[in-house]
Amino acid sequence: MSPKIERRVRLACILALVALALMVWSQLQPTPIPVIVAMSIGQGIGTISLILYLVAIAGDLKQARVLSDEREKPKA
Amino acid sequence: MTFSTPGILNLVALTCAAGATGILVWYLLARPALKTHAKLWLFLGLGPLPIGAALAGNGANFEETKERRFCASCHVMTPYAEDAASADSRTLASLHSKSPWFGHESCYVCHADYGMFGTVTTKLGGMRHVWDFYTNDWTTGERKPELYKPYSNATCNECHPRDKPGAPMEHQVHKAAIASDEVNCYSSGCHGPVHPSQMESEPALAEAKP
Repeated sequence: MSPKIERRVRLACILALVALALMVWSQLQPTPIPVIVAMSIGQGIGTISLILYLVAIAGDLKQARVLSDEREKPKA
Repeated sequence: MTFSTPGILNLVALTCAAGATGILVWYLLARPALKTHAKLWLFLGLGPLPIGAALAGNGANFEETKERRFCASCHVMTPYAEDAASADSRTLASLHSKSPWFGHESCYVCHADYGMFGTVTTKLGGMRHVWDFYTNDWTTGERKPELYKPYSNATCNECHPRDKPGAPMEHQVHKAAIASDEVNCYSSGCHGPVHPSQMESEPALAEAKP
């Protein structure tokens, strides 16, 4: 696992925690601003965090050649 | 928190959020190697659990935004909310807010657009009010919250059918005008005033009985 991929995963976790905090805020204080912030910014950040994680994992799988096209060709 | 539908959705949202937070904090603090086991846990903490929290939270929020107390939480709505809650007020808003059936969400019931996407179009209209509030200066008191389209009698007719037997003479005489919204149910001399603001603009209504 390269440090770049680990950094991405950690960033995804931090972004998800921010998104979750905004969503929880709207549940504990359901007034207009928290609700609007949770349903727009909160869910936007949450989506970005999931995409970032999936990109990181796809990069890791590619690095491990699980998703690579390079296969051992049979000898003629 | 109560065990109504929004209460249950609220609980589901908070439980999902707590689960996801636990997984994410564990990963950030314990820093385990990113092997299959950790990846699956992280997927749970970044995918299904936050998505579950968002879906349940949206459901709870949509229900909460129908409540009169939610509308009243914007300070520009304070005079409307105080009037609706007043035991002595004779406005239509106050009378409807006393209904044990829908009094707790009377703002939404009277101002919602009906139809399949009624809730969504109503909430979009509400968002436009919020946008206008923050982009225009409503704090001076010169500009009051207002509807973006004329209030339709069709909303009143959802609960009060026009063609019921024994309809009063006025309804029979003005049938076409009422149907075309030329005359509103809340008009001067009919069933108004609907809100205190209407009494300010039409003082004669303050004396009228709804």
